[in-house]
Amino acid sequence: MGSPSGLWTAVSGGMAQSQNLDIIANNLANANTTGFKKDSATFKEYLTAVERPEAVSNAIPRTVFKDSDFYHFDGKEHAFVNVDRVHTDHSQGNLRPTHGPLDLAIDGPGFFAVKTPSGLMFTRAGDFKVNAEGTIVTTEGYPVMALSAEAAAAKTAAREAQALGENQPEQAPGAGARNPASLNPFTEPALQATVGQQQPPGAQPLLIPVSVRDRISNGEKIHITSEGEIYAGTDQVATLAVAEFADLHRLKKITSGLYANPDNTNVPRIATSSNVRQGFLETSNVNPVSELVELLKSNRMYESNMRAIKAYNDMAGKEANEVGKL
Amino acid sequence: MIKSLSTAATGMQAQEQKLDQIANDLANMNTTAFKRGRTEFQDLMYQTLKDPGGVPGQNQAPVGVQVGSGARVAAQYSLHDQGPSKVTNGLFDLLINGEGFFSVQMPNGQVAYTRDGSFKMNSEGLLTTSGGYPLVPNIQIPQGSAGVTITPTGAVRVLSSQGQEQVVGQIQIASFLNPGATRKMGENLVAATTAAGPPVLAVPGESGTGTIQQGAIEASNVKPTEAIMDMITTQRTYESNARIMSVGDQMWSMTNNIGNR
Repeated sequence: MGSPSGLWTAVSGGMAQSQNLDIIANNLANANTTGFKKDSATFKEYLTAVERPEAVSNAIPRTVFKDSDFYHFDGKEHAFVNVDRVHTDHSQGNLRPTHGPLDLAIDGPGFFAVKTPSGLMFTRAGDFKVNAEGTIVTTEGYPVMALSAEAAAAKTAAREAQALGENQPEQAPGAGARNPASLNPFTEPALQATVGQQQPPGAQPLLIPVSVRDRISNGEKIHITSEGEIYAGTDQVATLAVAEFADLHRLKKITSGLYANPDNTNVPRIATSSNVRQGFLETSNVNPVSELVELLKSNRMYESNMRAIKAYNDMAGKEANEVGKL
Repeated sequence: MIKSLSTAATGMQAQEQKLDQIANDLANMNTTAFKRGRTEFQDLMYQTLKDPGGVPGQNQAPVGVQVGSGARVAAQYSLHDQGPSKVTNGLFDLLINGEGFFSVQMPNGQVAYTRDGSFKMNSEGLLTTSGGYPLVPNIQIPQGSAGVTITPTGAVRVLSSQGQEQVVGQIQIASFLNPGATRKMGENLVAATTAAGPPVLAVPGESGTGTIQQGAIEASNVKPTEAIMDMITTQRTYESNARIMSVGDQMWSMTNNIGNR
């Protein structure tokens, strides 16, 4: 007999559900991971029936009879399903108070910028530390980036221009002339100057690591405002670089809570609608209840697919052993 | 399926390690100057099955398919916030109000650091920890002293039996840039590490160190409600991961049983 082609539909369904289980497993394993964003799979079905119109023929077939001459599948036997996309749900996690001076959470869509050996990366996990050199670093020891004096001034100017524009629209043109976009630290070549192997000539890094060494040894406490301004005592030391993206779905999860931005067209900008909260950490946004419901669903769907495969197996068994019997 | 089983296993291992930390915290709820631990988790590597991108316009995939492989413990360290003070009125009970550690000499000559200020006087009149390790620099109380006063800045004043006051020593406090990176040694002691930065010795109250309060000790900074809450979330997360494992197992068994009647 020819292999019943509907078998592969069931196999593809089973494989897709098994992959879905992998994703649920990863979500639940990270249910307590700071700043973790859950993934969910979307499935795509492929139906050949839509592409191939039903063949209507009343003529007696002149060829050898096939299975499909008796059962009109209309191409449905070639249908399959697979995991098409994995969406990361970037919704806000809860803010858990920890009271640590360098435990930072972002309330809003922004990300902290981190300098890693493989370029600038972004993270929502704000459990920062001070290393032996007095630099603010992540748990891996990657320095957390702050805006340089120039970029911080541009940010302030842009905000003032915005405030001015809202209150007195007739006076706005002069103030709005200074374009903060020209000082976006995340655009090339400023970015290259920050993390690149060689500095392009003339480009100044607009992102710098924050050192609080002298401040801590003087016994000053670190205070961070919702704008990301780092104060030691009453002096402003630096402004944290918080980035916002036009399209969060283009970010790629790397590991250790880090995201890379592989798409050059999705240039982040300095955050305007994100607030930094000191003394809080963002919890994982995995909801165990919905994950377990997904899990049950996935389990049962897998079971149904396996039953279908079993039915094909039984059919093949009958065909092989019983059809010929008299 | 094999992937989801191992993913769930990483989750369970990570939660188990966190439970160990909570158990240690709760066991040390009444330990002098104990610093509670913190366990931080991170996600593991992602397997990219399909990259986002493709032909721009009609067929561009805005997102790809990335499957993660679980969680791990990224860091487990102590939180050095100050514990509540407990007034004991003990003569040699010292509390550091602020940052810093007392330095003590180990038998192998190494210097260890502690915030446990419940010092004792040994047979030679030296101030030592409960384990018998003398304070550095040594503070020796002369025999026949009528009273000992330790000032907030660490000067040890002794009143002799003749009624004369005399300064016999100066307690120094060591501070680290990154106290979370010190290595716990047991016996309420920590050791310096390169990640913690070099210890900076100072007179109490100077260069960011705390002052000394006589007659009090620092209690453990474990917060029982927080620890219990952590225990609940840890246990339930463990449970969810165990559930994934059993579902993965069931699915596998279904596959194995396709051929059976």
